[in-house]
Amino acid sequence: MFDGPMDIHLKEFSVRFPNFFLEPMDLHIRQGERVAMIGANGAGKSTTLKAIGGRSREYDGRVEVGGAEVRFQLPEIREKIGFLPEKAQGFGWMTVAEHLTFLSAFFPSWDHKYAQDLLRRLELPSNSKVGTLSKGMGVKLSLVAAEAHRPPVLILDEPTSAIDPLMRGQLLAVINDCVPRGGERLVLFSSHILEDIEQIADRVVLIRRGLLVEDASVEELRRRDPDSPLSRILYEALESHDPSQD
Amino acid sequence: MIPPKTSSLLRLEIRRAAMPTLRSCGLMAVGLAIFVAIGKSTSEAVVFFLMVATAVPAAAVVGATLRDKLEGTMEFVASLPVRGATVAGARFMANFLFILPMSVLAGVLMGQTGAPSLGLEDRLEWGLGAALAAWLLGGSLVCLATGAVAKYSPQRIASVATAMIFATLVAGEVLSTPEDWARWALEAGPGRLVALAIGAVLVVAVVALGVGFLLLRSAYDNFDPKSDAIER
Repeated sequence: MFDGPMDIHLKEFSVRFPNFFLEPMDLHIRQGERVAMIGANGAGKSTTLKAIGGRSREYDGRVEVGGAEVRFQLPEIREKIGFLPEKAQGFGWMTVAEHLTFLSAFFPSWDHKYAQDLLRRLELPSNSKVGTLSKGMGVKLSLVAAEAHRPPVLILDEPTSAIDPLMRGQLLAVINDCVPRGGERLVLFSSHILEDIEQIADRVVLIRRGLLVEDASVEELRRRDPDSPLSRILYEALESHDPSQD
Repeated sequence: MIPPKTSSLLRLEIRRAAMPTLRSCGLMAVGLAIFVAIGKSTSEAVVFFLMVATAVPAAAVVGATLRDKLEGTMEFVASLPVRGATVAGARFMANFLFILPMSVLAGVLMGQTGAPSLGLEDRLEWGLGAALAAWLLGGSLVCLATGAVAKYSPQRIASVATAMIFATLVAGEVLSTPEDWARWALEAGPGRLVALAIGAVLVVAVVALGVGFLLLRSAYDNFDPKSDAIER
């Protein structure tokens, strides 16, 4: 079923809800790439990531992971995809350790030792109740849950939004260590914090209402204005595609 | 051997329903103790307390599903690499487990009071039959309620339930009166009554269980967190 490379392929991907729509989009992300998806609020980043992660089926076109249409491979394909949602999920009355033990039953490749190691590195107390974790701690737990089975595809939906700079740094360092550049695994993440893009991504995809308005490697973007930091270049790219300026 | 995904979900369901059940049963025990202490422990009061305490598990398992929708944990379970049928199977196993105390109580009560009033000799056999019937019927109706709560909005369930109660009352009024039923029951005798009861219990249980399973499976298999996108 997933013998080939674990690429992501969006073909004419579009979404239509009563008061929300995404224009058809084509996108190909290869195994081993680290891609940042950026765009204004409502651009469709989370909706697109949920479709790729097998969390949403209500779309038109095709979403392929590893050469297979995601909708037709549910729920098994979720074993191959680590997904960090925008909001931490789980039962509030469970402890962190119980939450991870519960999840481990669903992923055959779950590595308990690795999960413990991640908990220790992220300074996440295993006896805390999930419901009492702060926003930042919740994100850390979601990262452990998404990464502990070492999925070939790791999707992170705004992992660093609304957490303090110290935690952000810690989280980015762990992501970089777990999925090093030049490896076999694919990382796709969305973020509003443009400084983060530089630290994790090799390639940047800018979307607006599902339209791919920019798709370039970080190096290519830097070459456009070698004197400016990448965050400035990205900000200008975002501004030039701001829907409010239409 | 139960597969790991099912056993993990089963443990989850048991834990979710166990806490509210234990708390409610504890409260009922305290209430009963107070009644005994002030000398008001009539047999009716005892039966009332026991019935309430044993009916709580049924409400607890349905309530856990409703809480799933309200607190967003349904999305969490629906995002796991597990089929809706497995979720439904684990939840239904837990439902039948939690309905067991109520069924035993129903059996004991029917054995002690129902059997003599119908002129039956074997109280134990009658009680066991009643317990089994209550377990099947109670468990499957709880499963139906669980499936409906997961699949539909509370407003829709309330509207349909109200319409069904109204339709049943009207149909009962048009088709027959309680006197007709009592006369028929007296003429039929215990043998035919028991056969009719067994048939009715089996039919209702199978239909309720089947519909409940399909609803719950569909609720998890087709869950879509589109509300996020719509809210933007």
